[in-house]
Amino acid sequence: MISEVRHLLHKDLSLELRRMHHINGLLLFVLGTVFLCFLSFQSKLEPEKWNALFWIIQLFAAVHASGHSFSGEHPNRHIYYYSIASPGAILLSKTIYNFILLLITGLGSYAAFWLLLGSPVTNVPNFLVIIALAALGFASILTLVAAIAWRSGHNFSLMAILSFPVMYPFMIALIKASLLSIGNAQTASILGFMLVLILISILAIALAFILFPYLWKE
Amino acid sequence: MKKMWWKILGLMLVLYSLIAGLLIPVPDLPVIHESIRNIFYHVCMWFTLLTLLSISAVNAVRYLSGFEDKYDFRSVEAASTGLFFGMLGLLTGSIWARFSWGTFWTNDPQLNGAAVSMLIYAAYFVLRGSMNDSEKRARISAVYNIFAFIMMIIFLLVLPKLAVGSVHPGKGGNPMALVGLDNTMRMVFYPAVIGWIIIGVWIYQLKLRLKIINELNEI
Repeated sequence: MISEVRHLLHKDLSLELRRMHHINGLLLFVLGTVFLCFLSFQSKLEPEKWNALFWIIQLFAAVHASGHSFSGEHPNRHIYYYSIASPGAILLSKTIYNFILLLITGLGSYAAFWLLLGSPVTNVPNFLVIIALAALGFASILTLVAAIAWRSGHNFSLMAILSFPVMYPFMIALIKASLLSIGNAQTASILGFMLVLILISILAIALAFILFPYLWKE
Repeated sequence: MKKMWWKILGLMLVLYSLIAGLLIPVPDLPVIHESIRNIFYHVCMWFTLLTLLSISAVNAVRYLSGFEDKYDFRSVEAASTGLFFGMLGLLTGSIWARFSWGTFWTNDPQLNGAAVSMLIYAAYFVLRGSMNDSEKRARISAVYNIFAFIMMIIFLLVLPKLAVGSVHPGKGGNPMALVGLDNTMRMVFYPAVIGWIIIGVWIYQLKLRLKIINELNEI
């Protein structure tokens, strides 16, 4: 199982390193959106609005990124993977791959915000931890939704519709935690929210692990 | 006729709560005053919604464990009946909110939870509508149903506790609803909840039978 995950992940990552089209596309998407915000907002953003804007852009980037999880490859190749790997390994490798992709996007997005819109974040280490937790949560929830949308055959039109409602609990906890780390809150007060984020992610991964086999077999 | 008793019971309970809800004396609380009577109608909708959505999720699990069509029918009909009760709940809640808080919609965990459950099940029906193959539709929508139901439960149970304030009773310094309910109100409130749940399940059963007949006609 673990070696299956490692090999599949290695395959996905080396494909990505060779072509670089997902990560470049995502960074360009984020940069383009942030630049649009820079042009739209004439005055300096208040922390609360900055925070909401940042996470909404992250959510769109994440939906966009994970939407490609399964549709990026030729359908025949999925039959090949089906014959050599267990569904759980496929799901885990895709989730880890999405996590890496979204972590890079999150950091890139923070850099773009910092350059163009300024950064109200006072507790930077905490904020970086929250970016990592957000990537984890996005990856764990959206990979399963991406599989559902991909199987239904209407990948991109359904992805946003299906993923937004299930993302709300995570997004609310995320925005609260992030707002605390922007203000001058102690790490201890953010810890509870971080725990909620981690728990939701673990629950989503566990559910996805149980449910994915039903989607995977044709 | 033997199996009719619970339907009659449901009707009696609802009828009783509709009439008694308007007649019994209620405590004169600030802000809500007489509009507190809406608790007999509005809150019951949410209990019915949750019951029906649980039925839907349980049947989705049963569908995935055996791939029998009947569980898919149950799952989808329970969800659609639940959505109908959700709309009634939003309607009665909005009217109540307009009179006691001044707006139709406020930023409140309970309200947001309601909105999220409606959005989730609306998405569920969009997903179902996008597929033609009935076996595939049943399987994929069952997966989404289970996943979305658990996310909704998280939203409803965990997040209100994180919220700073809520205009609903029992949260953020407001008195707990059931503490505020005096004994005469309980005498109406609990039967009303049970009655409406029975009516909800009854509607769901009728819709389910209609669905099965339609499916048989198509074959």
